[in-house]
Amino acid sequence: MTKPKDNDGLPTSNEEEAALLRRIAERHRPSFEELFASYHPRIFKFVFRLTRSYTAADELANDVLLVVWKSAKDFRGEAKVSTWVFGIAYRQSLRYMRKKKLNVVALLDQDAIATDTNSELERQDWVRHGIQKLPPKQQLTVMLVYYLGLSCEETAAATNSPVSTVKTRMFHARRKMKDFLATSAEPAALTEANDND
Amino acid sequence: MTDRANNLEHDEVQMQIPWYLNGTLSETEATRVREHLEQCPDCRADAAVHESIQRAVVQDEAIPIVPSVSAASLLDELSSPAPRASSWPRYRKYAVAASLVLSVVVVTAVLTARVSPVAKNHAFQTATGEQTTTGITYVLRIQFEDEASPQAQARILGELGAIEVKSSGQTDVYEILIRMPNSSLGELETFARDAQSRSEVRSADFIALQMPVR
Repeated sequence: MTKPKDNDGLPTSNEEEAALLRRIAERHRPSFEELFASYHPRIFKFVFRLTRSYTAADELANDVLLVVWKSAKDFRGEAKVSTWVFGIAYRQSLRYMRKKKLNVVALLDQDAIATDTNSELERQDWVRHGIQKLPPKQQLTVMLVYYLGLSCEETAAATNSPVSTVKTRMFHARRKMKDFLATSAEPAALTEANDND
Repeated sequence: MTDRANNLEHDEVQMQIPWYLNGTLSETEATRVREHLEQCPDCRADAAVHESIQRAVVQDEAIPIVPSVSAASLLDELSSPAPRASSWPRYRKYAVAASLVLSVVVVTAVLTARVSPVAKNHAFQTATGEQTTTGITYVLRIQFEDEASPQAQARILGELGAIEVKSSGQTDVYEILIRMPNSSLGELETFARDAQSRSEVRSADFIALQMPVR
């Protein structure tokens, strides 16, 4: 039986999570259940933001955690547990997005977005629409950096890419977003915000 | 500083902006980026685009998260032995009979679930950490095949129990509101698959929900 912890019993530090992974590597099911409770919602939200699909988010979260169960013994502690787990989520999501490319891009189409241009939420919807048009690797890198707040080195570890590649992906993502926001009928408020800079 | 050194710093800072914004640069690096931004309008414009992306990505959404399986049953599924290919022909007629019975049971269960509320009240974990009960209107995005007639589309939307139909702006694509009290994620999946199994429907997927006003 695992000892109770703060934060609703979920692991609160990288050391605790690493200890959980070591027990999972020894096929300790309660430890897996604890990690599942901690990570399933986070992976679900990560994938849902990319796909807007409950089915995909749930299936991918389960798939990622099954990979964690199977390969916990491979965790060497060179990166944080969260970086390692989201590295798996990155690869699984990338596979899914490549397979479902058209559906993912089509989830939010331009005409489906409401035309209330004064609303901050509508503006963010619009930017998210642009993000969904980015190539999968750029979308996922944007999510790792901005949604999970990973450092450049952690992003490189999660995506198994050189640091320079990660920087280049973010550079191209920004450039494409700038083009998208400049050439499309973006909400007026965002245009004004950018013009002021 | 020479022009060449300035250009070098400009290029380096431009690449560091995302991590300046997410707060993972060292204090020294952050200071360097901040000072460069103060004097470089091009980099400030780039930073504005990155900030837009960051705001859109981190905006909180109340996503009800209901794992379709528990951790334990996920592992049970993994450990249950896969059927051997060689044993399939031998038990084929039993398997076919069993799947027919199972289909009847599943269809009956789905139909029953759609006409009568499930007694148990599920508690949903939301992205904001708030616990709430079900009674949710879901948004199903449905795309019809080109050959589906308007009459067939209207019939199917009615059969799915659409309480409101919104045009997506694309021909044959609608976002419909469906009230599904006490529905688990599994039931939602079944519902979407059921909708998509119709020959007139190209795709059906739940894309959003409306939380009840409390």
